[in-house]
Amino acid sequence: MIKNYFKIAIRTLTKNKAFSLINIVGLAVSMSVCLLIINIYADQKSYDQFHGNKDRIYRVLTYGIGGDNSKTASSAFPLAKKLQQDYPGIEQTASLVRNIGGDMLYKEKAASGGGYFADGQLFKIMDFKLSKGDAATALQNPYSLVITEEIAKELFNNEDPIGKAVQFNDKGVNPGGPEKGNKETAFGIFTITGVLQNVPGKTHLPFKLLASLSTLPALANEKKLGFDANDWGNVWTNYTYVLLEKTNTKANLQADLNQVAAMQYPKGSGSRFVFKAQALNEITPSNPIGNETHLSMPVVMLLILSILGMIIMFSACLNYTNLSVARALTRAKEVGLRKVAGATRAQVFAQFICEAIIVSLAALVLAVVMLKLLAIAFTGLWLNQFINISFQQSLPLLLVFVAFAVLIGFIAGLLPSIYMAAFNPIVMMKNFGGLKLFKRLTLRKVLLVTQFCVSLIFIISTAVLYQQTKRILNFDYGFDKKNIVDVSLYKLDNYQRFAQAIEGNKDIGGISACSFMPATGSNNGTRIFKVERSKDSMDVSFFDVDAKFIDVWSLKLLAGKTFPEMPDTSGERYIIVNETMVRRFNYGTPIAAVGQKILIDGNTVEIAGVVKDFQFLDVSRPIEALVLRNRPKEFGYANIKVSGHHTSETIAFLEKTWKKVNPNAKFEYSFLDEQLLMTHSFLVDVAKILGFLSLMAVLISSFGLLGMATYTAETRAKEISIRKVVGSSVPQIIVLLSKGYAQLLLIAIIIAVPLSWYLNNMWLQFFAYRVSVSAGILLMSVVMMLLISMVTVLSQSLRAAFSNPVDSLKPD
Amino acid sequence: MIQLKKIYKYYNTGSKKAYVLSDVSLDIAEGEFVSIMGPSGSGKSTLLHILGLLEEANEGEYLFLGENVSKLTEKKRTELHRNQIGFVFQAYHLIDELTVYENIETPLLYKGLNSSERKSRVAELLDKFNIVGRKDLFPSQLSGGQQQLVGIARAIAGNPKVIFADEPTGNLHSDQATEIMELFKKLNEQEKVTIVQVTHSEHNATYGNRVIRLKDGLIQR
Ligand SMILES: Nc1ncnc2c1ncn2[C@@H]1O[C@H](COP(=O)(O)OP(=O)(O)O)[C@@H](O)[C@H]1O
Ligand SMILES: [Mg+2]
Repeated sequence: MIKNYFKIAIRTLTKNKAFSLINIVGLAVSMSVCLLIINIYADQKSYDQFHGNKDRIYRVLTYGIGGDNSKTASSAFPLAKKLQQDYPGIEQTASLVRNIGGDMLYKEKAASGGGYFADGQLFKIMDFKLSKGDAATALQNPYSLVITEEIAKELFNNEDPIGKAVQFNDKGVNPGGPEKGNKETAFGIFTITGVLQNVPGKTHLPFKLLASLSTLPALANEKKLGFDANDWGNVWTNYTYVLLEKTNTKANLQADLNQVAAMQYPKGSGSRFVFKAQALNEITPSNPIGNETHLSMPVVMLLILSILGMIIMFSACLNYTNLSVARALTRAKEVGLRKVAGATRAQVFAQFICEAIIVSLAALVLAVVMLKLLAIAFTGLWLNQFINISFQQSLPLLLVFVAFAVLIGFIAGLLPSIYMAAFNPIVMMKNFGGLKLFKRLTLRKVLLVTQFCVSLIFIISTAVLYQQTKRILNFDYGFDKKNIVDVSLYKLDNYQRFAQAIEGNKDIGGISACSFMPATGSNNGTRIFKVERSKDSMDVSFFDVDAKFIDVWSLKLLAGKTFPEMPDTSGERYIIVNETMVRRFNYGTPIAAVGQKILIDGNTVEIAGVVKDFQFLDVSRPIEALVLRNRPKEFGYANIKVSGHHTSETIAFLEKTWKKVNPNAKFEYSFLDEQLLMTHSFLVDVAKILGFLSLMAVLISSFGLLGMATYTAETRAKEISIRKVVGSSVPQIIVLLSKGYAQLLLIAIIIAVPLSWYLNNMWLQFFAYRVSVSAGILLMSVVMMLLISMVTVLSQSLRAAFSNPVDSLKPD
Repeated sequence: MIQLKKIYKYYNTGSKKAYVLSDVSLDIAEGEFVSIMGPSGSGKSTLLHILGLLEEANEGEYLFLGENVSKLTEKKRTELHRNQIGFVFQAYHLIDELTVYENIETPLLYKGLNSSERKSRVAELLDKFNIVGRKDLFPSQLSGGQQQLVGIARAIAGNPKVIFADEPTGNLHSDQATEIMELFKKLNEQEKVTIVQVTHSEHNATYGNRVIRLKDGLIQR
């Protein structure tokens, strides 16, 4: 029977090539988008699958309560021990402490990477294995270091790494993220006690090294970092992993955690937290949470992508439904005959579903080819360098694809199949088909209007997003972002030597230092008080700069002066503030603010100057009160103003000079304007993705429209011929064939325009500086939509209008 | 085998009922060859559709093989179509996308015959109707008469007890019509298939052994 269905499906499809093509290409295009999303999802779900105990491993998250709504993937350090000691049902716990990452030096060789402080318990929970060294003892003694094979190769080449001593200079390198760090602390000499095997899959813990946990108290003794083994208040720097016994459950663990939290953070105590158990497989794709150990696709983004993908897929399904229902009449005779020959309703239904699935499977073949191209495009996106989606197709994934295609075929074919199956055989025998045609027509109209709406919403949203992106890319920061080169400092003396050494080069206009780059996404905050009226206080953002910063960044000094060239070594004396700060503290004018005394972090300082507001937060946020401070030990970057001519020579000069005066530190530079662009890369990526999806949506609905127009023109060929014979003009015929669509378009516009206005204003709220959904954008989008639709419909109407009447008036 | 008792069929046109069949009662015994005649629009097709279980009467009782089939479940009706009833249409409706062979095979598929049973039955019919040479052609490649032969072959493929034929020769030349009529006669006499045909031709009606005349939905006595 299936064979028979298959045969007739293939023959029908090859006989109606235009319709088959429209359906297959439309389905394939949208299917490829869905396959891409499935692929991304599969990639994200492949994380941490190599751990033998993966179903029993949990991470403990910490949520702030009572006003503090922070959520962090980290938790208090003493928690692991507490759980292990006091709670049965927990087989093993392990702590991972952040804040080790930097350069390892061995003889002349150097390698760098980030990792954690840990002990051997980690190896009992997760399948991180050592290829050299003993997992049980490798992380026992202070200053023990376990490194990846890659680092071992870099440092020791073919020598045996075990027992080798390396100098470790911490630079704040993050194991899982793009942060590179800019300050250097010598942690001392470590002994290599193990080499990590390469992990057989992706993991949310992509560390390059592990130092023994017992190193922490030693480093804390030397004041190189802070550590207190009994500090329940610090939930930010430690990760707790738990391996449950086989019979235990997540709910049990959660109950244990609730008990611990209630005990450690009683009501009325300062900061209060609760702990949350998170299963290993819930970690990737990621939910928004602080201190995540790796970058992955945010669940929300995956969700939004899936919804958009589904809308486009649905739109292609509508094409199939629409065209099939439209052509139902041509299949009515077949259905009638089959029923008379003894086919049940279910059999007819099955036949048409099969047909839809065959079309869908044909589309799948094409979609898999398109997926290859999409994957290349996606891999090229900025964001993929962080989330690193790999597009490998395994057999199970292909099976998922096939299942997906079958499902899509089913959905697309459902309505036409029900419709056909319900056909009364007599309807076609009597040729009273016209009676039922009306109902079908309204269904078709609804489907077409839906599609027009989807296209129009996509077009408008893309236009708005494009405008918004343009607005942000051309944003006026209030400082001169051109021709500034930033160099990571690591150490303060690096700066002083470097600044002196490059002075005098004619292509260098100035050099200044700052703690981090304004407007690139980082900011520090603190609370300041008026000295004479300590009731007056406010939260401000701050960062540290030197005297020349205002000059190099071309900030406008409204009153007062910049910092003294040589800061007071005894303590903080001056600050510079922005206009917003002056306004908030009601000083009246910038001039009046100069000389006022402020209490900041316990020091009394004087306002030395006021600068015009500039954008120091990232562009999504409005300008706030800002304090510029002048503590040299905080400096992390040098900013060099270059002339803009001979740029590559200037960079070469900078590098050469840096290497000469700071031979032990890496020269790392970037251009400020490029760095600022980087902060918008995500937005640009989103714009690209949405732009592409919207193109797909428009393309698919045009396909649908083309199909309908072709069908209408074909079925009315005879009518048109008769009209022409009796004297209708070509324009009259075009109007006749097109006016139905014009009506539908109008309805779609009435629905879609307000809806897009609403939807787009919703997401625009996330931007402090935003474009409005203007009448211009709406009008332009509507015109574009009308144009596309008209061209599509007219192409078919014209063909019909100019056809030779004799061709279609031949007797049947 | 067929008994109609006081059958009425009407359509609601606007406010009043338009009767197509009124008070139609009739008996057809197994093995009969009946011709239904009457002017255009007199309700012949409607009567045949009701007999063939393609339409339901509004009033009255219909016994088929002694069983009341006035109101039937879809399942039961399909069952009768598969095993007892064959239908031949005036416009020799065939499935355009299927070959002659496949068209004849269709009812056998739904009947659930296995492939070798189907093969031998179709071969037998092709042979009987002298169309073996055309088995792989599509309907559009056949003449009207040939198409109607295929239509009849398909109608009897499932070995029905009765064949309903609505103007089977209406669109054919007279010698093609004769061929079809001879075929019906042979089926009726040799294989004891009951045949009910609608025809306009008095000559064709003579092939049968009884004529029922219809006028304005009433049987003429
Ligand atoms: N679905 C319908 N709705 C309204 N009138 C119908 C319908 N089907 C058939 N008729 C009417 O019933 C009458 C009988 O039709 P039919 O049985 O086809 O006649 P015949 O086959 O004798 O020419 C005709 O007048 C026709 O217009
Ligand atoms: Mg008729």
